[in-house]
Amino acid sequence: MSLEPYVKKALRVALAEGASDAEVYGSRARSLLLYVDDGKIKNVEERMDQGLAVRAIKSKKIGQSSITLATVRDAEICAQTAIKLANVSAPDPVFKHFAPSIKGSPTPITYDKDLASLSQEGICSLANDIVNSAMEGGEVKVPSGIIRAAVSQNMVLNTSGAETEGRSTMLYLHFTAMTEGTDPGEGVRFHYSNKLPDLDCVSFGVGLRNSAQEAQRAEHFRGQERMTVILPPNELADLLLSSVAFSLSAENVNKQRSAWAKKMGERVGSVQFNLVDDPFDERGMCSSGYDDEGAPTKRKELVDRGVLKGFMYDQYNALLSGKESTGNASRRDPTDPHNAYRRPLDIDPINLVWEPGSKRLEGMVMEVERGMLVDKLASAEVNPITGAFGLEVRCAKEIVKGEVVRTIDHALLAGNFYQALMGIREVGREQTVVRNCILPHVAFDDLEVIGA
Amino acid sequence: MQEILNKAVERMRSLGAEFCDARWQTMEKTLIVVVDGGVRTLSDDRLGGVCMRARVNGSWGYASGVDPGKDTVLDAANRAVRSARSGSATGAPIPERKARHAKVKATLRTHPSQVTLEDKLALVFDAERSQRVGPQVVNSNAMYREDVRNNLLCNSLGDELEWEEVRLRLIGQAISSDGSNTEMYYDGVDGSGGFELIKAVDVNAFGKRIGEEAVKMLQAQKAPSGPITCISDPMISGLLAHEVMGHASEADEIVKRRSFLTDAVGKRVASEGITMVDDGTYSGAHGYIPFDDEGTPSSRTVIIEDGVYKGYMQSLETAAQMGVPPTGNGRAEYYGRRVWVRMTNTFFEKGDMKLEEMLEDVKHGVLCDKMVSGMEDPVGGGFEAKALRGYLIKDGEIAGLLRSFTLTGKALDILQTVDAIGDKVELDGGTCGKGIEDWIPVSSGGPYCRSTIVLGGG
Repeated sequence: MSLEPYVKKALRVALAEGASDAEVYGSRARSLLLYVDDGKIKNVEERMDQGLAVRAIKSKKIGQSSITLATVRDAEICAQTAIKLANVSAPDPVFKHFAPSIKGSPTPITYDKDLASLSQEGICSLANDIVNSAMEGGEVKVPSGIIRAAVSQNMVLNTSGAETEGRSTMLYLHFTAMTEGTDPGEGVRFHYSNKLPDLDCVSFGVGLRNSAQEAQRAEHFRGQERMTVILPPNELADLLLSSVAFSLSAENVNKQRSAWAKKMGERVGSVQFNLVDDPFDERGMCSSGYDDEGAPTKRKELVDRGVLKGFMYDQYNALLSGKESTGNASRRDPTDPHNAYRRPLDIDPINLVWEPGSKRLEGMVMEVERGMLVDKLASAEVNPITGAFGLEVRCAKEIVKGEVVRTIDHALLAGNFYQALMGIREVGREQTVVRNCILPHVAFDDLEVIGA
Repeated sequence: MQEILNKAVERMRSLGAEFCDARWQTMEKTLIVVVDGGVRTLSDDRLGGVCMRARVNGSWGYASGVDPGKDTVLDAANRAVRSARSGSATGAPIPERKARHAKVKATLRTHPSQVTLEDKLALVFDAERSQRVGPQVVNSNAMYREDVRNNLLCNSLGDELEWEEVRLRLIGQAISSDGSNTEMYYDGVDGSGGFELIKAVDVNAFGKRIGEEAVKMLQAQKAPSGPITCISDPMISGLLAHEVMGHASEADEIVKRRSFLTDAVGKRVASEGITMVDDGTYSGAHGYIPFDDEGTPSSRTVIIEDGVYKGYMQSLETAAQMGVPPTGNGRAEYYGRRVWVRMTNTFFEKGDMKLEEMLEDVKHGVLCDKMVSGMEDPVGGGFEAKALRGYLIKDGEIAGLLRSFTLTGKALDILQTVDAIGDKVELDGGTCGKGIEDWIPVSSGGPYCRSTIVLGGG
């Protein structure tokens, strides 16, 4: 049974129960997962789920409900519960209607039939190729790994006439490798794509092995100094999502929590800082023609040559600000399509792209007088309100006069990310897909590094 | 439902599973978020589904879905066994034991379902409104969440278990601004139990303090950088217990030698006086569970005793592999996620010093106040914790408020430098991931602890 009968039933019930406006979001996902444990295939899992989320407005009050869908009765319960909550809520003068029906641009192709039909034998073969490549030579083992291949579909229907559908595939890998012996080094590698041919298992495994061997060579950083720091895409993504994406959200602008709330048209970074949200880039894990309220997505300049150009809006915050939705209402998780109906609608970039620079990574390193090229941070996050960060560097290459001189660890990288954006030295040429971002390496000048 | 699950267990056994279990789980969540005087979210979330798990030659197959119908469940049982046969891992068989039968309701006075939504909403409005203590509070937020889980488990050991878990949280967060600086303060209440947990809170005083502290944060200074004497508060002590020593004591990391605590049993890993436990039986704590998701009763596991390392947390599988009893730490986020070895309530036991006594001896140091986040490092034993704020200590006295900073260092080095332990344990509830996924309810904590840690302020 397709999602449509459930979605339509829930909308009908919401209206019958007295809703003046209602919106129903439905999603279904099927995934094949594989876990590697200590170099062996430990778990193989099949997972299927489907569910609905209903938002209903009654007497200017809003209620929300979500439910897993086993029968049509669940769709009825979901709608009735949303009305029950709306009955006891407080009036909200802002939310008069849901996203209107607007035809968007053609939806990008993020569905790969080979990935959608990946078999148990196929996923085991991918895992074995990665593990064998990583463990070649016998110096490295693979303690853990996950491969998640999924296919998902979603549908949005509301009383303003919006009716959208989408489907996509997703391939997500996260592996660790470890050197043998005392004081081992650990390396980590991720892969994000929506098409099977994007994955090169041998190259992934070799990269995994190299990262573990680099980590084992690391010496503890000593002292305290300011230097140039090159951040890789995988760490930059989390830093950007926890700070810049937060400050670009109209919800946080309206709540005055955004550090950039009053900076529209002003400089928020160096001229190399160019950010767009591009939902039509087919490499993007969440790329789509419509958001999860059924509003058409748009390619948006967010920061152009360091100048703030735009915020991201959902329907609610667009109404609150007297603007139009930019199609950034999202329930998506770029690593797991399951349970999307349970996630709250949030303003998120659909596909945040930092425009590439001109230099390859080697060229960026050559121009650094004193600095480090980070491979792995403990946890890449920024205080979104203040921009403050203190990040434990788990593995990095130390650079002196344009050359890598050694590998270091146990350093604390401290500063303020919003200020750091003003000191961008260089932006790399090659981009990598990480979560809902496509990013290059970026070099920041004058960051504080503290050792033991 | 139990009959269907038992049939699924029979099916998996008949297809060759050496061990198997079948779980049905429902989760009902209510979320109320009030922001700046308006209801931003009033939502209800109902999740229900089944998970079949089969073990063949040391590899696991899982099949999960949302349809509890007999045919679908039996088909999932077939698929779980087929998936298990795809694996290549080996392992010791899970030993037979006497079957357990139990039905456990949550221990509480007022089930949250007995409280009207109107009453809950009024309480959250009060918790938000009272934060607005002046014009410098530019954004005020209060969130109430209740989480009721019902679990039904049957397995090939003959267990038939049914239990309920109820958890509640109330959190307030205020944002302050003076036009140039923006800061934040939060506080919260959490635990396993009934609505009495929330009713015990004076929500107006709770909100007012959050607003006042957010305004004070505007005067906070940058923290010093480098190695320094640090008094960790119960939240930061808890992060050290949970993130580094706890994750590295999960036996699934031990059996594959991915933990810096592999082979550590019997060795001194901390100063004398330091004792650390994981205690799933801790009634009322956020990580309390009557059974883990494999049906093993929760227990109190001593990890460090008086500075000496004692042992690991176990699932059925790791216990079989290491030849020890399971400790009730095999947990899954929900029916659609795999079982890992996970913590419950993890904390350092109390010492005998008052905080004032701990401050007296410090010439130059920092006192932490609340945490933002922390990150595990089972391989390297590195500690990273972000404190919400702290106080500068000069000559034994509090000398100023510090804004958010990060603490780092090698956990074993830090624990060897602990020279003072507070006389009261506090626990803080939250969720914990295994790596970057699989979030489960836990708590962590401890007393105030004084040690030497590397600090970096942003």
